[in-house]
Amino acid sequence: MATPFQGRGPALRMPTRTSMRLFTSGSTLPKLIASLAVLGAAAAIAGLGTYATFTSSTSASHTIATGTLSLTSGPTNRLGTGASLVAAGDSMQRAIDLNYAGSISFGSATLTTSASPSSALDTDATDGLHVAIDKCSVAWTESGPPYTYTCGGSTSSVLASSPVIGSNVALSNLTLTAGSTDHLRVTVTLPSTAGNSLQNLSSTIAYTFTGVQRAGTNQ
Amino acid sequence: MRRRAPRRSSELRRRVRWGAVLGSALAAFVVASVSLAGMSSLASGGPQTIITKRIFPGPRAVAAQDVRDASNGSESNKSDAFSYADAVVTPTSTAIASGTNLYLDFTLNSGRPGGLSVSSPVFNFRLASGGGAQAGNACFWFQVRSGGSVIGTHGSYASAAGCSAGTAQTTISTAIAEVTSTDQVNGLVVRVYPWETGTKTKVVNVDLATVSGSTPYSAFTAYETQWVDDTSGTPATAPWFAAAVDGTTYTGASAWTGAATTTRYLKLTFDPGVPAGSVVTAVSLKNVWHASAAVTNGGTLCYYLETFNGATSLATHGSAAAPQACTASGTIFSTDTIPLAEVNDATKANNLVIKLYYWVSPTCGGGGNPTCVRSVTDQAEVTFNYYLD
Repeated sequence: MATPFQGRGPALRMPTRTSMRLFTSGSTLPKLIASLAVLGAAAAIAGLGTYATFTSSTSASHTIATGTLSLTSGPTNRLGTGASLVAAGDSMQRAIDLNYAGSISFGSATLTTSASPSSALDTDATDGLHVAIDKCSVAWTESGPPYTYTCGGSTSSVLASSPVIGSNVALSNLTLTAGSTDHLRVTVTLPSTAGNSLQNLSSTIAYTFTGVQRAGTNQ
Repeated sequence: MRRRAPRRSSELRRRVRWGAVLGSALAAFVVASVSLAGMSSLASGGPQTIITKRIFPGPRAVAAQDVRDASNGSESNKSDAFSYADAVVTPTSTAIASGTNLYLDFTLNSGRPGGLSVSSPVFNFRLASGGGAQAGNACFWFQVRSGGSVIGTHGSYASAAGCSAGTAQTTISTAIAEVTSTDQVNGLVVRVYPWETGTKTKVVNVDLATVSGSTPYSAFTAYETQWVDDTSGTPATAPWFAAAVDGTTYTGASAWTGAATTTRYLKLTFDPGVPAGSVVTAVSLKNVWHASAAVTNGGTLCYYLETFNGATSLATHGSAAAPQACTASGTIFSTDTIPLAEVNDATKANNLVIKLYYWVSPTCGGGGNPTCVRSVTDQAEVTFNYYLD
């Protein structure tokens, strides 16, 4: 008795144990995969051919060299000279030269100070030591010790009076140009409001001036 | 096995999320670092060592605690009763028994530089029973007060800080370790609770109430400038006349004569406790005074003064021929501030004695002449300006 599928190809048969032949040598599936691969490769080549055009190339190179930046102090640098027997209302003037060198100009400068050993002289931000910085357009004329300075040119304020300890405190009115020097006078003051609790104390202050490059430009 | 799949998926998602967070943070750090980076260069200065003076410059005012009156030509002791163990005693206003909580307050002077540490501070109190029938001993306990607060308590009614033996004056020095700085000593108040142990209650005689100790640079004694007697239950305040312009005055023992003489004087002695080695920059006397009555017939009460380093004369200010100051008023105080440039070191400051030679000018007594009058003094204080390197 004939079935409804009688006379049609075997692929249309319902899955039977004979379908395992698809995965055997000489079976249908490898042939199918190989055919798809050939078709895919042909399509890829055809695609490349669609986008291809005439091309030519040349090569060039450039050297990018960074500049240099150098901030140094001296020859005048009195900041290492301390003071003793300081009383409320006393101030100490010390000169320092900042030299800008290198092939890049500076864009800004800051001052960072620290104290070691420390005392209420540097931790008391109100009645403790304060620092102010002035700049003279020419080298300061020094007298003393105790050191005092007069300016034969024009003066400008670099840092208004501030507590002696600060981090990255911005400095103003500096030249900052490579090849130039700023003549600074650092004035440390113990305010007249300093009370008896600040008697017989000692602090050692370290000063670090940091010069930062100018802003980036189109080169 | 089906139940594990969602867990694994959830864990995977959690890991992915954490990865995303950490990755974002790292990316932000890198971006920020790149943004802040740039070339920089450093130049250093210092280190700079700054050392302050051991004692800052400043004025320290000290009243005369030791006062001697020789207005009649013979010196008598008119010193502050509580400043010295000298048998010049002050009885409590009222007989006082144990447990009354009635007190004596002693406020100490402020003549020391502030901010100095204090070592070995003691309260010196000298007392005795007023005596009499059925009298016993005088005892006390006390509180130490600073800035309005009690900072120490020493003894109690059950356990006295000290007692006299009957009427014999006895000095009891009690350590007051709670006092640690001159800021506390200056203006310190000691509240003493005295009592008398007799079967019949008696007064207590007080001879001395001081605080002594040392700073790192000198020894000091703090003297009372005011005491309050509350033994009656009603506080009565009695300032030391020389300490302030407050209307509490000292009237000379006798009327001054009509001629200046070095044998008639008011002698003032000071104890400023200036540390050895101090630089004394300025010293001045403030004398606030007037005549005990208006000087009649055109006369005036005058004085000049002489300073001493102990017994050694340093200088005179004015003279019999050229008085330092004069007044005819018996009511209006004259305030004289007299620089004493000759007191220029710690030794002279600590040994300073001043004699004020008063007289009625041009003369006094007798028909038609000005009346002979006494002097009335409201304040006798020396201000010492000094510092210690």
